[in-house]
Amino acid sequence: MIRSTNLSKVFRTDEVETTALNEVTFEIKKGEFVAIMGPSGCGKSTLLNILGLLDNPTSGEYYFLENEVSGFSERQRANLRKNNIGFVFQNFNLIDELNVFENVELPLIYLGYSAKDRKKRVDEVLEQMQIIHRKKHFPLQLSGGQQQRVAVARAVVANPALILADEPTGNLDSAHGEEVMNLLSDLNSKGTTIIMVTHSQRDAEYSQRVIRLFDGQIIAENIKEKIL
Amino acid sequence: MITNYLKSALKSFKHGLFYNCINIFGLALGIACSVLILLWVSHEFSYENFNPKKDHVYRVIQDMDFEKPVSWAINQGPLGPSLVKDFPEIEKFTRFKFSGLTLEYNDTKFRERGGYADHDFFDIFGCNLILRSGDSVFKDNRSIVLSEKLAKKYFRDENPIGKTLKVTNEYFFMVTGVFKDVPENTHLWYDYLLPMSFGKERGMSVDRWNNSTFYTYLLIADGFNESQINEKICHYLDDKPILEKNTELRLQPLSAIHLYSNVDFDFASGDIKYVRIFMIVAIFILVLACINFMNLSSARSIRRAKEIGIRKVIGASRFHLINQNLTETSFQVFISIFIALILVKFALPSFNNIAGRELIFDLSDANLIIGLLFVFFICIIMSGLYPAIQISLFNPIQILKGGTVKGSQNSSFIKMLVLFQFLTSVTLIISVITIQKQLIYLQNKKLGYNKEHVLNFGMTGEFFSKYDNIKAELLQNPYIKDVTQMVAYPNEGYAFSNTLFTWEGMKSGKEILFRNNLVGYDYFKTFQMKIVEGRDFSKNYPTDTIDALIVNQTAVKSMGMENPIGQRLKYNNQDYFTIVGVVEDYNFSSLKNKVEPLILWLKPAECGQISIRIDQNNYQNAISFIEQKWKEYVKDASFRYNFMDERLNNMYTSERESAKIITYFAILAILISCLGLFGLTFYMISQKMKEIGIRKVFGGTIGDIYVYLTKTFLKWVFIANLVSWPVSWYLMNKWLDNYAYHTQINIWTFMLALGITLLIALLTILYQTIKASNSKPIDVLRYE
Repeated sequence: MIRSTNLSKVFRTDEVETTALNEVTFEIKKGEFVAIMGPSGCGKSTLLNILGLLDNPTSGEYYFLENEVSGFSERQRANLRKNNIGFVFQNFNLIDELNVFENVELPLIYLGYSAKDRKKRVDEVLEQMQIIHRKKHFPLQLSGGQQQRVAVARAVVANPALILADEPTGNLDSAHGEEVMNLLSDLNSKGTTIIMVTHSQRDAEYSQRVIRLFDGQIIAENIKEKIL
Repeated sequence: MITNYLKSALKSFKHGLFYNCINIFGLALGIACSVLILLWVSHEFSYENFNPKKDHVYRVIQDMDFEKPVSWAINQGPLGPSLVKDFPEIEKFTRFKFSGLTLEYNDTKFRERGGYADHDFFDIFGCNLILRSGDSVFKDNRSIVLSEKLAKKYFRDENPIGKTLKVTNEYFFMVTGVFKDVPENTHLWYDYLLPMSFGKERGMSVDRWNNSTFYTYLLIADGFNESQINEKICHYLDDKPILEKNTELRLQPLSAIHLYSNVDFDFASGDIKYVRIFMIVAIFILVLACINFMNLSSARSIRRAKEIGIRKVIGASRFHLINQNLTETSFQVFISIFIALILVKFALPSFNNIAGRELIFDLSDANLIIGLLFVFFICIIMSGLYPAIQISLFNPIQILKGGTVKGSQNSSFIKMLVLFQFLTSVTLIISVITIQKQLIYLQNKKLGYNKEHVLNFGMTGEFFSKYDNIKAELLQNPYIKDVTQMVAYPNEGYAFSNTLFTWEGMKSGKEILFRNNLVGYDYFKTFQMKIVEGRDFSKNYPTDTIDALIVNQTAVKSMGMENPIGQRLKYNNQDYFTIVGVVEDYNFSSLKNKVEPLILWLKPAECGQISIRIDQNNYQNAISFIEQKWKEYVKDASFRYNFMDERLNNMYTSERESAKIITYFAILAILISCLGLFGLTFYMISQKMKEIGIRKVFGGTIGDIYVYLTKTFLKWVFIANLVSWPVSWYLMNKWLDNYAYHTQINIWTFMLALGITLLIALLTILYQTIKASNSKPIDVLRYE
């Protein structure tokens, strides 16, 4: 599903040049649950942004669903993104002015679903995430765990093939964190590919493979059995 | 501490240079407009201020009750002297009557504007006599007093006192005094003064109670006020042999004449209504500019949240932060005022041109300095206090943890302010459209006569006495279509008005005030007026000059006559006249007034004004021919003429001036509002960057985001329009009510305003929305 060869990302300012990713090569197959781990500043989030088509690499090749996308324009990336990828962020990134239903509905609007279809699908997902009773609430009226469930609902509502999660439990207590990890696990068991950036060894346990990054390079890859 | 604040102010200024410049320029523009308007307003209030006795000087007004109440600024000749004789608290009087005579000295010969006055005029009007011969300047009927300007014009460096001026080619007058030029801010302007006794000699009704033609001014003794005197003189005319019954007298303070006068026969040009409107506009423009400043400062403060957070953590109190912000604001307001003063300096000549005034911008004027200080503090309070308090309320922990500044409450307040700005702009746009529509209406309204290609001038000497022959000669020219004469031109009202007509079957009750004009043959033909019943005056009926009248339709209606032709009217209980024709109503005064009952008399011998209809394709030939005739008969005066359509246009000069001023200020208000919207866009987009990022992550394209942002901003413009429409409709209808004949405000006026504001708003937000739509989501979300 995902293949990268010598992927590099360099951030340049007037005075400093920072190499965030240094010739990273790896492959992720459909249906995998992969955790990316490493210390702060090692390039985890940068990698996730490139994988999620939010950013272009400086050099190297990146194949997403067999397309070489590293040279895609913003419009092409947006198109590919909205049809295939769902995002879950550490700080949820919900729109405060929209209620739960409207937040979850957003990807479907951009995919051109009819209002009727949107309602049906959003209700389904909210039900699945057990947050349907809060659908008229605004993000600020919800607990962290509830907000992240909404964020997960939004990520999966369009049935994406890939979910990218950037420290999804980073802002949650352990009980709520576990809840979210179970949700992701569930999705993975139903066939969704999941790539998750995390600091937490516990969360990494949910994955089948861990990619360890240090200073923008992959220093280890361990494959292990999923704990269930 | 202050140094630290100033340093920080300077740094923050440099940091956001572009937005600070917008901020300062917007405020400077607002202050400049307000200063200009305030200069104009203070000039309007300065009328007669140069007169040291202005608080004791009054003009006498006559109030009459006809079908509707009518007030006149003119009085009977004997009124002034008689009042002074009967009431000791009235110290002095002067009558005044305008005159425009030709003065001649050696080769210098011009027609000048001046007046007839009594000897106390100089005292009452604070006339500063810089040269005089003896105690009294009006020694006899042949004394003339000149303005400094006129004295220089005729006598150059010679001493004018004792010199002889030839007046109207007939009389020789001795210059007995020279007064300092009358300032512009007075309702009464004159360049020479002649004694009233000379007016009497020329046949003016100085001693007759049955004719009102003089302005009467009184000087009231110290310790008496207007209402005390009014009480005494109210019924003073009851036992006098005047023509109009039920006439009451009252005093009008000299200082109120320019702005508050609303009486017939007045020549005051000001109107307190416009002064009030402009004051409100000035305040609104200043408020709009301050709102911009406030919005842009609030928007910028969000960008400075981190600095504020750190300052708070290391010990700055709310007081410190408010102080710091106010110092920064003062710094910017100061620069704004400085720029505003430069703008005023450069804009004043054009403004004077538009406003038809000679305003002076003098920075040493204490009033101006006090005004500017006031504006300075008001601006600081209005523009600085809110952002300062808001900044001081930022939560440092949240900010330093990298969170955003919560601005939802704040942004709705700012939205309200921008809504208010657009509301004001839309209202001004609708006002401008309506005023312009009304001006076009005034210009194009069918008046009941043809105003095009009619040339007018006043006749004099042989040109007047040999009118009949000259008319015949003029009509020989193929380019001259019609010639007629009259006392008052069709647009200039009437020669006189009274209530002295009675007729058989007249209903008792209120008297009818008839306006009267004296005309010559072919009056209706020349102006292409329609005789709807009966006939025109004709030489075939030799008695027409003695007993024939033509009335307008309104007169017929007022008299309640079914068959007016042949009806006899009795005038002043003596003479009988017969109605021989009815002319279709035509507007003989400003369109502010409804057509009133009008009676036209055939009196060629008294009609000194001539109107000539000429061929529109050959008007130059026609004018040359008329001029040739003039020169043939008139040796001592140059040929000066004007066109009827010009005369009509001149009637609405004040409307046009005001419309121009309002238009310019509306444009400025819109410009300032656009800066406000620009600021709001900047502010809201700063707030919405996260949302834009999220929308893009979840599939929003650049187009989606652009449409979404544009909709968000234009929504406010729509709301502003909706709120403004009823307000503007009400205000503009109130203004149009001043005109008996006026245009209508229709849906297109509102649609046009909506279109203009949407277009302007769209252009204003274009750059920022495109920029925001194009932003990479990752750039925004990285901050989170």
